Amino acid sequence: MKDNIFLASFISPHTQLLGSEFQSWDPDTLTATMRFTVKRDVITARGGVQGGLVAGYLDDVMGYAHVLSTDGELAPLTLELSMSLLKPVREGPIIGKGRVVKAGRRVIYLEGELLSEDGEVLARATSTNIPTPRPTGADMGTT
Amino acid sequence: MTKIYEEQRSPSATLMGSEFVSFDAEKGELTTRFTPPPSFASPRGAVQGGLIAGFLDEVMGGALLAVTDEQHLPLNLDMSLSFMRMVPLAPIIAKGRVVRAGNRVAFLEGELYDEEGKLLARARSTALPTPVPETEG
Repeated sequence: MKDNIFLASFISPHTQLLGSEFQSWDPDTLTATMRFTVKRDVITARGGVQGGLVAGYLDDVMGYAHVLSTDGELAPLTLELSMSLLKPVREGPIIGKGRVVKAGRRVIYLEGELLSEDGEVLARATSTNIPTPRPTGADMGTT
Repeated sequence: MTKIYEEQRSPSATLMGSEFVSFDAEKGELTTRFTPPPSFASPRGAVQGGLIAGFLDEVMGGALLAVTDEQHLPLNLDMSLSFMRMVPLAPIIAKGRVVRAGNRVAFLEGELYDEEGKLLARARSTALPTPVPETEG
């Protein structure tokens, strides 16, 4: 297990919105596991998370995987993301898994899944990214 | 017809605060304006990549609603997104189009632009057209 102190600086507005909570990191499979608490704010009239916003959870957990695989030095800047929405994502707790598929010097391939607490797959994604120095949050609040 | 885009139909729509700009019936294209809420910011100080899809979904959904005379909203199966530029926490223009709306499947696409007209992000979606859900009381 790596030293995850740097994760504390991850607290950013979107982390609050998504209810993100880091759970574990497996360096052998380059997989990060997180827990999210889906809030009512992101739910549509159908009772599930608005389809597009599901990408927020997937992007978050996939990003964690890459950050952790670089000891907190780099973070992915997403160029492309494709997702399949298999089941509605309901309000309450869900599990996210993100994995580094390939981390080159110029391009990073990631994949991610959202699961119910029973282990049912709700959504999955793949993304193509470029590595950048991990933002420290110094740019925050410059709207 | 424009009325429905101004109604806040769900918590997610309220969160993103879509503002109707125009609808082009010939192109099947809806244009709206969003001001991303501060809660969408990543540590980079711009909208988190994944959450950008929220605006695109919203405008593509509105386009299907308009094209089907407010009968159908899309239930997304697959969505594909390209992020060209950072999306600032400032007003952005969104365009959503119905590429094809069949009985069983709808193909949608959308783009986000900054106020100078620069392309920020693009999406394509494959969706099931479903009846508009009852608004919660």
